[in-house]
This record gives sequence, C-alpha cells and structure tokens, in this order.
Amino acid sequence: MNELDDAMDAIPNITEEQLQMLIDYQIKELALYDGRKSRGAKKDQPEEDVMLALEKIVREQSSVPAKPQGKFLRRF
Amino acid sequence: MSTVEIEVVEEVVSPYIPGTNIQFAWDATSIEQLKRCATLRNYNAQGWRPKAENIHLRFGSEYHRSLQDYEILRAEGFDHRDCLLDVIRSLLFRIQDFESDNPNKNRETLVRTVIWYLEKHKDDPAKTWIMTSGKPAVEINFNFPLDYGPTPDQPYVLCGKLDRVCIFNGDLFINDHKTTKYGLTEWYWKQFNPNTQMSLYTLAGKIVFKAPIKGVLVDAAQVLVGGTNFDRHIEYRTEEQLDEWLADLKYHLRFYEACVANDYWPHNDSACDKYGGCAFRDYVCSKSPQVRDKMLKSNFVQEEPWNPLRTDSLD
Repeated sequence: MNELDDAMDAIPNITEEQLQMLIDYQIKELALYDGRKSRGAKKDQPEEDVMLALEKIVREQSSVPAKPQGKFLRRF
Repeated sequence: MSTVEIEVVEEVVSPYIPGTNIQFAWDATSIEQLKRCATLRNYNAQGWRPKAENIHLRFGSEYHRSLQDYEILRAEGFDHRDCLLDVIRSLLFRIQDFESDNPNKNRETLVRTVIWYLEKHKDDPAKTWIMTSGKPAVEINFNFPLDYGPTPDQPYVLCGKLDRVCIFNGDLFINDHKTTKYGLTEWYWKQFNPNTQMSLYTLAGKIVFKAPIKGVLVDAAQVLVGGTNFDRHIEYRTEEQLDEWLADLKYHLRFYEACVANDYWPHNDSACDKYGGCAFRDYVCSKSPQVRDKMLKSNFVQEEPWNPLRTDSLD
C-alpha cells in the first residue's frame, strides 16, 4: 500500500476527495446507463414506472437524498 | 476448497535455445501469430512494432492490471469501496502518459470501464479461488513441457499467464477479460471456439492445477463512447478437443522448424485483412520485396522482442 501512497503523492492534480467524487460520479453514471438500457429494452413499460425505478437505483447507490421524481433525474 | 500446489515461474530466461534462433517456449500470442502468418511471426520475433503506441494493447493491459489489483486486495480482506479507491488511484497514476485520440479507448473510457466492471461485479458469484498458499489465484504464470521439441534435448514449452481461476456454480474455470468496441453478440462469442488462447488456457489450468478445469469464463466489456456493456460467456473444451488442439500444434511447430531451417517465412496472404488488418500489411508486405527492409525501418521501431517467459508483464 505504501507504493500506492507514494504514487498518489506524485499526482499533483487529484485529491482524495476528487477521487471519491470521480468514483461516485461513475457509479451514478452506471446506474443511469443501465436504466436507459432497461428502458430501451422495455418500451411497453409505462414511462413513469421506469423513471421511478431509475430514481430508486440511483438513490440506493449514492448518498444523494431522495428528491421528487423527474426533477431529481433531470439534474444528471 | 481444493488444496493442490501450483508452480509459479519466477526466473526470466530466453525462449530461444542458447546460441540459436530456435524458439522453444511459446505462449498463446506467439502461437496465434505463427498460425496466422509466418512472416508476421518472424517480424514480431525480431521485435518490430509500429511506431505509434498500440492503444488497444495498452488499454487491455491496464484493464487487466486493475482487475488483478482489485482481486488481490479483496483477497487480503479489504472491503469493496477501499479496493475500488486504491485500484483507481493506482490506475490514474499509471495512465498519465496514455495518450489516445480513439473515442472508444482512452483514459476516460478506461477509468469508467474499470469502475463499472468492479461495481457491477462486487458480489460476483464467480469467486476467486484461494490457493493453499493463501494467495488468490490471480495472474498465475504457467509453463509446462511437451513431449517433443525442436531438438532431442529441448522440449517445447507452452507458457502464459492466467488472469484468474474462479469457482463458478461449483466448477473451476479460468477467468479471462476482453475489451472490444464491437457488440457482444453471438458473432462476437463465436471467435472463441475454436481459439488458441481458450484451448491453451484450459489445458494449462488442467495441467498446472491438476484440477478439473471446465473451460474459460470470458468476461467481455464492450467499450462505447457513451458507456460500457458487459457480458459473460463460458467456453468449454472437452478432452478430445484439447487432444486435437495439441496434435494440430505439433504440425504448426514442425512447420516453424522448417521456416527456421530454411530462413524463409512465407506470407499467408489470406490472413492480411483479419483482425482489422495486419500492422505490417500496408507499409511492408504490400510493397515489393526489394524495398521492404527500408519500409520496415521507416515505419516501425525495433525493440526487445516479446519474451513469453517473462512474468512481470501483462498481455
């Protein structure tokens, strides 16, 4: 692990917080991507249900508190 | 848990018989090259490669390395999140010099693909096999001799590196990772049967671990500009298929010996357009023989040839 710590020290432009943010961002992107794929695969599913399911996935995989549906999703 | 011991190759030795240009140690890459085209194999054996970095090779190597780091850390008892952080931190450090203008394979899509894969597989039912040494069976170097060779005193040796050995649905599999920009369709999966790497890895697993390895569990990542898709496929090989593969290999290696003996490396002009086009086609093989050396030196660089017995590189 020391090697990794040394490596981290050599990267001037990324902090531990930025690293956390990067990973959290990508995890949300993954959830949204999977949600879009799922929506594309189930075109007969009511749009509202898909939006609710997608919001649930994103909320479960992030620390972002719940927001009213729709408004929350449009932030991404 | 199984309790067999494995042999891990640690010394780096030449794959050639001392004092000759006869290669006795072969990995999947060099065997595939030989099967495709003797000219291609000869150029690679001499260390020629295009001047520009092979971004597909770099992308695949860093992807493999990241997943390997993760498996090792998990086996040491760290939780998913901590492992993910360390893996990505290390990856970001390593790829500072990775310059790519490929829209599918670049730093951003690499980091994304690693994070997405690990997040999707954090509760993977395919569990890494823990060896009796307590170490996870990840990136295992192997080599084993055949019962014949280029000379009476030197058997051929088959070698390589296994990404991971895992237990999936009660059976042992070699786990291998692939990245591609193409769709993970039936057409994509068909390339793995018949396939040199899949057959060699299954064979190696059976011999090295002395365990009933069923085949190769292939995890593929389709890397797109806007996202990455993942799919998993199992490649089974029967004993009969492996026997046939070995028998075929003997003929290919005897052909190789004839190439060495005659110092003549015939072109297989039916293979030039495969795999997106051979790197040597446009600038070398399509030219008249008398200008090829000049073209080769102008458009390629010559480095230390790939040594299939090296254990510190990722392929």
